[in-house]
Amino acid sequence: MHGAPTREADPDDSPEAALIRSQSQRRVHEALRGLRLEYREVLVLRELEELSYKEIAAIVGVPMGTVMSRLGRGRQQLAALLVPADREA
Amino acid sequence: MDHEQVLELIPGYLDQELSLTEARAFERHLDGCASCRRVYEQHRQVSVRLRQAALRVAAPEALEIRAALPMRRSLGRRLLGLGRRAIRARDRPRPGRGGAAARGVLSRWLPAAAVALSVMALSGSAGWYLSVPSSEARLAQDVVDNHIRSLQGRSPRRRDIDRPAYGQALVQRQARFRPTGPSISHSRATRWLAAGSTISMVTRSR
Repeated sequence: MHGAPTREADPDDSPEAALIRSQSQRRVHEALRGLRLEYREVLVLRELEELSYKEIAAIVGVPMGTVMSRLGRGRQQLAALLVPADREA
Repeated sequence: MDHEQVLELIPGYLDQELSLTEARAFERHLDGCASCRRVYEQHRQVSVRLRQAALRVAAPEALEIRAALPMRRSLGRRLLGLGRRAIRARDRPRPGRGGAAARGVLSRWLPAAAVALSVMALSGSAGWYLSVPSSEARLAQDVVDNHIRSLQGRSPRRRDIDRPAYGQALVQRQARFRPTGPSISHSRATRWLAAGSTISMVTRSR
C-alpha cells in the first residue's frame, strides 16, 4: 500500500517561527522607512531590485563612488535603527 | 590598505563590485583586524535581513518555471500575494523577442496562475504556498509606495519628469551597459518608473 510520503515537521514552518519572521520583517520595513531618501533609494535599488552600482548610478544620477558610500551609510543607519527595535521586541 | 579605506570599501566588497586586487587587499586587512570585521559583519547582516524581508517566498521545486525562466519574477506582485509568475515552456520569451511579448504572456497567465495557486494552497495538496502574509504584503506595498512617492517629490526635476519617457531613456542607457542586447531589466526599469501606485517591480531569479 502506498501512502503519501511523510514529511518531518520543520521548525521553520511552525506558527511561532512564522510570527517571529513576520515581526522581524516588519521591523526591517519600518527601519527602512526611517532612513533618509538618498539612503533608502540606493538600498531599495540594490537589495530589492539587485541592480549593479553602474545601473543605480545611472538611475539616481550620481557617481558610482557615491552609490557605494550611500549604501555604506544606509546600511550603517539601518543597523543602528534595528538594534533598539530588536531589543524592544 | 588602512582602516579608513577598508571601511569605505565594505559596501563594494559586500556587493561584489570591487576589483580582484581591491578585494584581495580588503580580505587581507579583514583577516587581521577584528574591529573592521565587526563592522563588515554588521553591514552583511543588514543586507541579509533586508533581502529576507523582501523576498520570503517559498520555492516551488516541482514547477518548471523557475530554473530556466528568463523572466524575472515580479517582486511587487509576490509581496502583494498576487501569485507567482507561471509561464509554460512554449510561452517563454526567447532572447531577442523583447519585453513586450513577455509582458503579453504574463498578463494572460498571471490571473490564471494566481487562481490556480490559491486553489492549490487551500487544498494543501500541492506542497507549495505563498509565505507572504497580508500584513507584510501591505507593509511592503507601503514601503514601495513611499519610495516611489519620495522619488516623485524629491526635486522639481523629478516631479516634472515624464516617467515612461524617462524609462525609455534609461533603457537606452542600460543597453550600453549590456552589449548582449535587450534584457529583462529594461522592461523592469520601464515598469518601475512608469508604475505609479500599482507597483510591478521585477527582480532577478535566484
